[in-house]
Amino acid sequence: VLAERGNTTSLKLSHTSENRTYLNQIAKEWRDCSQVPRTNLQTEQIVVLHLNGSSIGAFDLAVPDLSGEAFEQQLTDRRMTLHHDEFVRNATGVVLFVHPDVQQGTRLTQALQLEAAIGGVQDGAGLSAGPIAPWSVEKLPTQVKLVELIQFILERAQRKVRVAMVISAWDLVDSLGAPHEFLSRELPLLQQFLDANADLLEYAVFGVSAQGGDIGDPKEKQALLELDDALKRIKVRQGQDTGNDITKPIAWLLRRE
Amino acid sequence: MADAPATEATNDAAAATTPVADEPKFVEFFSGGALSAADAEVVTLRSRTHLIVLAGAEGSGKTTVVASIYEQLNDGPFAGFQFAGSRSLLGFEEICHLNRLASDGAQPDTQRTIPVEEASYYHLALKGIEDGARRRHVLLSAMSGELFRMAMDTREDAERLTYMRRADTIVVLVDGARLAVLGQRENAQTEAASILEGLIDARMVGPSCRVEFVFSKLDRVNAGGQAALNFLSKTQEKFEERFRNIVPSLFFRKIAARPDASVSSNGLDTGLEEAFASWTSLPLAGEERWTIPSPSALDREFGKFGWRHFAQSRMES
Repeated sequence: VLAERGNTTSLKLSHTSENRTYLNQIAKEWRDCSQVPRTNLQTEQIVVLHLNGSSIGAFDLAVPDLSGEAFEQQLTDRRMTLHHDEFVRNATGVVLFVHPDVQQGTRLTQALQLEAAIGGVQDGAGLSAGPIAPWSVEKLPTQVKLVELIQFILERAQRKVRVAMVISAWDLVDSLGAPHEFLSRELPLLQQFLDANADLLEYAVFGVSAQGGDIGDPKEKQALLELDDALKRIKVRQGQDTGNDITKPIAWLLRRE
Repeated sequence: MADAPATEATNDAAAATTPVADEPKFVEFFSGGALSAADAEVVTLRSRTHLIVLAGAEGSGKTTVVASIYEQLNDGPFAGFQFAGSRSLLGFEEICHLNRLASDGAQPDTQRTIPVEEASYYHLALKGIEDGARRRHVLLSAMSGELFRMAMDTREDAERLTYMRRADTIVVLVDGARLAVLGQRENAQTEAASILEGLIDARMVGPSCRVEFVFSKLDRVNAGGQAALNFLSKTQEKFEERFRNIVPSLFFRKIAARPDASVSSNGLDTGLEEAFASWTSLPLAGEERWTIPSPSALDREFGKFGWRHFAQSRMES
């Protein structure tokens, strides 16, 4: 986007990066409407972009592309590598990615109340009564995982932290309301945590659809590929405003007071 | 912040002489599980903290009350508070597991309090929903009946409960389900009274400590009909007569922390929200506790435990 349409974005490319191999690879996948490969522990990269922002001036943006697996490990092992810790301590801001298909941690009492309300099966007979699955960290609801990870960050950050929360695959839930409404509806514990710690962090919520639709659906993928301009696939929503400027969350992190 | 942060598990001097290629070094964090008495003390020393001890016979619903408070916060602000953090999120999640679809269970249940060598504490950082509210800290402890009995037997066991003597609120749960059963109700009543007597004998009830007898599982009492409700009233009268002169701040309450789905759909007020607001609303006793200087011997533990986060809270206090 920065290379082709810098005049429409909040941040502009001042000159190209020295090592563009990784960027070129993931950009090609995106243009082809293909699944961009997931980052794993072996493929973590630091992407450096040389940018200009209207109220910021020229700067280098270093984005460590960290694997989700590394964060899962932090939750189970209760520790962070010094490598990640250095990123956290020196970071200007954090972009927190959440897929809208969140793990809810639904309670049996809620499920039974719902059954009773719709006049369904009595005495929980509708729920499976198999052997009890043991508790594990992997079963944590998404909002609990995110609160814990932000608590880790607050432990280590050197200053007030800016958190740009990005709800990815936004096209899946766009019809249900604005991004902050998604946060309130689906992740209320996280929302309270973010609101209650305004002295330690500030946050904004964005809905971002990088592909513009479900590329796993052949018909939808075809329609996306047929757009005359691939950049039109991008949707970024903050509040009631929707546009194509995918730099918006990062520009928010970098803005001056 | 310059104060001892999370523990850096490195040894620079050793690394300089014995380089270990590609071995990742780590920063360690707090465990996230239920807190030990020592961990709970760290919280208390660093921040304004309200300690709520839930005591009661086995199966009376102590852990369910703790789990339900956390579950309510999972849905949004509760009892006038919004959730501001916790050092024991994993501990909360573990005791909630048997009420989750992910457990593959068919009926809600709660993991029983296991009598271990020391009591466990669950931590909540909370902030009032009103403008300008301060962050505050609450520790909840479900004290197993067996742990309590052990403490009654020997001085050594009693000393394990030393930290609990700081309780701002003691909740003695009276098992409502047993009150509704003819063959069990007398024992349920006697056990609850014995627990408070034992706590008083062990000098765990401080002069400013709020004590509440809480009749749990109100839905089951209601289901037991008028006879059960009458026995509950008589029990309250008995307790009033027996303890009023010894415990000035004595209160009574009825709750249904996790009512049956069918009862709940009839609009039963669980009473938990009002209860939690009441348990946390007392003026905090023992002001000297907030002015204790940082104990340097505990610095490493503070690091693991999240000193920076708490230091911020303390500044606000």
